[in-house]
Amino acid sequence: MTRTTARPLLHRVMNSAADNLVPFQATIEVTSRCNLSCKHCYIDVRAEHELSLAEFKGVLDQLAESGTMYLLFTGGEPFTRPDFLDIAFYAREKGFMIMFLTNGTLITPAIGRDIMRLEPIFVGMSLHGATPDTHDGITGKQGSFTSMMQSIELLQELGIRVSLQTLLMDTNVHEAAAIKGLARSLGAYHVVSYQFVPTRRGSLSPFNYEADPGTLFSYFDSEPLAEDPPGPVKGEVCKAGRGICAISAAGDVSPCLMMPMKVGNIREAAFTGIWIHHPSPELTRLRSLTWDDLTECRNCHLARYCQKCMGVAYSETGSLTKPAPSACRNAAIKAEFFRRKGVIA
Amino acid sequence: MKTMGYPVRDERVVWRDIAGEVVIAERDNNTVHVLNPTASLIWMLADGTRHTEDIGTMLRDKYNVAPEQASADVSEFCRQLLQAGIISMKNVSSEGQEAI
Repeated sequence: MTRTTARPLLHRVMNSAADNLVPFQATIEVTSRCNLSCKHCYIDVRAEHELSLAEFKGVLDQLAESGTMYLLFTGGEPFTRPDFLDIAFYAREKGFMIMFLTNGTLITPAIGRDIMRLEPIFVGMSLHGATPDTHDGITGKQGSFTSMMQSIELLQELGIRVSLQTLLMDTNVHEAAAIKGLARSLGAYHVVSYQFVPTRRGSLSPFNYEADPGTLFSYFDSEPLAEDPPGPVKGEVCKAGRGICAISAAGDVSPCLMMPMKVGNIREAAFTGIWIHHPSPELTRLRSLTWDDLTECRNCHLARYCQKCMGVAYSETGSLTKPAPSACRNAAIKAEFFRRKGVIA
Repeated sequence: MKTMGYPVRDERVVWRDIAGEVVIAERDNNTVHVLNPTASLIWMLADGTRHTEDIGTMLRDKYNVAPEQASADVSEFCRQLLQAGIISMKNVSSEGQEAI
């Protein structure tokens, strides 16, 4: 028996799951509706006929049978759906390890107690600013910062782990250090990113809000070096479509939340049919990809700094093998980061 | 010789069989356990209806190992899981049969 909380063991399990086409991690988008209108949001498609509670229960039954252990609930905003907690409690009953992504504006004390009973690994929220003006300016809704802060406090009091993420963009990068300080003072886990995502329809409009690299560097320059420079590129391309899957509010199955490639619909076929017995040609193609297929990326001098997401690349270019322009920009930023820190020449 | 009792998996843990290896996650602390194929079989049989001796017999039949070895493997594995707090050991089976 091996026991650990460290990453390597989970990575080994993930690799084994991916090799055997077990969707060990699944994302379920319970609704595409949201009570906020974040300016950079990637969801520009609203499901007209969302899966019912009974249909979601069927999905959860199938995922449990297929070996899914980790389940991420997201939206839209999951809590806009009146029966969302019924779906979540059913998932708990089916023995999933649950995680939530929410904007934190609809969590009442009663909902907080229900979340506690669900024993999630974490509740994730996006912290867009250190001040109401900045955060609300991005979400498009006054009061969203205050209600999210109240939710964080409530969940922390209930012993629920809160995980915050911040996408550095044009209107919040100036207070990046303050955002980090706020997250620390809240006692929450916090990650910072600067990778935007195209919309579901393939619009690149979210990239209009990217932070100016110069401003990003002034933030990074004030930060201690928290990671080693990456080593040479090796290994697999991505686990999407093998150890990871996503189900949309309308029942569309895709290889990953970030990859808007419809490989089937749960209303039209059983999950195992879509995933195992009759995979679509695109899914089969995705599963067969190796670094040898990504000729431009493999030979790029920035490859080791690149955190290319296959899903973002696919939605940005429509290709599984072409470089994603946003990943190229970010790889250059990362290389410059290590250069400025004196780690590389 | 009858030893131990009827092992029962803790209902609070989450587990899946991934290609013959059982993966167990504890909700309290997100600790993950990965069992080798032999331990995985023992885990799947630990539903409170089978005595550890019977599990040893099943192990012996499946892997063609000596009875003493099978019993020792089951005992050692159950001790580890008891220590980890992810199984309990009952003196009476869930079907009412008492351990001797």
